[in-house]
Amino acid sequence: MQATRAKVAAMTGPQARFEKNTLATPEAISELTEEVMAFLHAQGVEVRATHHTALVLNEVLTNLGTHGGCADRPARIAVIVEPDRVTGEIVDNGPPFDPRHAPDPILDAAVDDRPVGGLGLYLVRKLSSSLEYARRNDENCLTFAISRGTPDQGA
Amino acid sequence: MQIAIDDAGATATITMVGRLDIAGAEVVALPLATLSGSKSGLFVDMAGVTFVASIGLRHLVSAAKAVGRKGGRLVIRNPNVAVAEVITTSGLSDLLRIERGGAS
Repeated sequence: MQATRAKVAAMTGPQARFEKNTLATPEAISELTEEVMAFLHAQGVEVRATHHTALVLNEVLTNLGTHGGCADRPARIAVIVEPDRVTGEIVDNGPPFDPRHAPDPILDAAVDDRPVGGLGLYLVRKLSSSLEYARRNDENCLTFAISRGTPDQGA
Repeated sequence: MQIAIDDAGATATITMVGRLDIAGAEVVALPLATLSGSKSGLFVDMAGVTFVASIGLRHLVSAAKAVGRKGGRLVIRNPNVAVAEVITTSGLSDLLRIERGGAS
């Protein structure tokens, strides 16, 4: 089975851009994560911004596939590298859903009561420096930004 | 995701290399569940982990809870800056204690 519609356009330069249409299946999401991280690494983007850009894409698509019921409909992905941030866009034709308003997990519960799930969209909101949503032409349009500039450290 | 396990003593060390995403979580799920049920403590060396998604955290949290119920701990060793930020932002620092520099 073809997990993704392979339309990758990776351009380099001051605003290098990555584009791909991808399904929200586990295999396709894993493949996208690998490709986006490789693209950002090739552009010299720091470890933190590379990771968090891939994380936002991963979590939003996972939510789309598991809760949106549209794993079989391709979403359009774009990632743009700017000097001070990485921006991304996810456009899908699933049911209207604004991840900015998803409920937060209960983080201050006792250890045994701490939820093991529900962290994905919380991380999307917390790690993005901006997160915008619009419903246009029966599509969900989510745009986000991850700040750059944190020096790489650690392994 | 590739893993190596040292379970010779009362505690065990799991060394992970790769991405702890959906595919990686499938690789670590059974070893984490097995070791957290049989050992008094777990060390997870994440120096070689380049990516962690919430589904990966979910397995680590489940293992940490299982070890914690026996009075032990799950310790994350040497995560990179991004993985460490994901753990702290998730509010899991008390459950998934981060250590740096410790050899397994």
